[in-house]
Amino acid sequence: MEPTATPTRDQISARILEALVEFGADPEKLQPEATLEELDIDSLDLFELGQILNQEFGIELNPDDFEGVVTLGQASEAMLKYLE
Amino acid sequence: MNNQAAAITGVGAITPLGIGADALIQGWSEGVCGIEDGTGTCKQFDSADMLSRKEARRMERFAQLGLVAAEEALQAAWGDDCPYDPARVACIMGVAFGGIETLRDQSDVMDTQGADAVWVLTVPVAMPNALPALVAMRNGFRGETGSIATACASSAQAIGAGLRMLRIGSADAVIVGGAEACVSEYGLALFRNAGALSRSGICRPFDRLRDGFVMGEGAGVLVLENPETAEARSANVLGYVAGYASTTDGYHLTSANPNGEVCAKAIGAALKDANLEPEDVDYVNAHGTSTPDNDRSETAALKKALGEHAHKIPISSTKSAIGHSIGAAGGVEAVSTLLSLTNRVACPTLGLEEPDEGLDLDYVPGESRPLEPHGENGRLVALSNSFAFGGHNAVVVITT
Repeated sequence: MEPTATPTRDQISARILEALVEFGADPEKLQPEATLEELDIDSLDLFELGQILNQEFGIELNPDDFEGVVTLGQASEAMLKYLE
Repeated sequence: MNNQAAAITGVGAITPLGIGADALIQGWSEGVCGIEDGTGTCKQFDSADMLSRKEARRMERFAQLGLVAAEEALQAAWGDDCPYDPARVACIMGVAFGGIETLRDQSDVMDTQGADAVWVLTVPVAMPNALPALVAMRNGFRGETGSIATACASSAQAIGAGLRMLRIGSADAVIVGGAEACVSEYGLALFRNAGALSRSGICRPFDRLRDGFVMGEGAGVLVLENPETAEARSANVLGYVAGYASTTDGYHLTSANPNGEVCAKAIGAALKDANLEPEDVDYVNAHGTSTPDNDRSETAALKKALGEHAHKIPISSTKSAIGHSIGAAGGVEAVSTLLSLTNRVACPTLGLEEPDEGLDLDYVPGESRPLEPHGENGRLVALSNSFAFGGHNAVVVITT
């Protein structure tokens, strides 16, 4: 898939949520303050998210981007920072 | 040497005859054939019924089948409360291929979309050791875990490994068996092109018209425990794995030696391991693939190992009812063997109408018949044979 030329924050945020639901997360619980542990999101989910963002938006995450990340909001910001 | 038997305290199975070990023995004993359109698929299995979406998408079908069968066995053995130190509970599973569909799909992804697009979860989903890892994760077991890959003998060897672990004292309980799911265009091509699959799509072991095996899929799992600790905790002991042995033909990569000599050595050694004599055997659950080679060499092996007694006992093939589930076959068949003994029934070899020339043992054509112990102690003794590509011969002795 060709990466989108200039993705917006909203596009990427929506894609992150869509992917997490696809991975098996409960859509009702996907709030920014929810912890990754509560959502049962682990390192493999984050790796997979990183691959999707790379393939679809050309974003290249670094292995330490999620260091210290506890909540979904923090995880999203760790990915969205590449748009700034 | 310690020849102690292992107590079987729980079994589970997913097969083309349905969900659960009871569905397997009930269907087979009633003569139901789970083979349709030339394959044996577990049509009643829907991962959504038994696994979360997250669990299911991280497992290929073989692991889904195996995990659900393991849960059935564990529930039967001790429910949700494991009576042992988790570090003393092990899990050894047989699988010949594992996640080959995922590997194949991702190979296509690499060819069409490039290396960076290869799915992040390919390794954990496809790895042949996924099943024992998942069983341990889900249940908190921390003892030794691993997979054995010896084609169609994989899960029989897993059972043997579990028995030996209990005997040397490296575990108090071992979850053993195996799973396989390669009924796909690719999986079928692998075996068809190797000349092993039935062209007619009919499984009829020992019949003069047999022309190869029918591909099946499934999982069969047993919980083995040290018999003393099982008794101490008042476990419901279903039966015993009393002996095990394995030999290697060293003859041909895919063909069995027609003289059956090395298979016979495995049978003899397994009986010796169980402190039993050929005359003690009441029933044989044959490897019985319906390939021209296997059924002839297995018959020769049984005659060599059991002598005249081979003519006096019922011998039947579970594969005639469900097809050949490759790496899972030994586990599924150990379950069907045990339940044949506990239900006192010799299930039929379906599809057998006219035995081939020279195949003159009692293969239980037609219908089930009662299985009676011929020993004075009332105990029933059975052999479960598994012979594999690669020349691996594995024999498990199961008793009541």
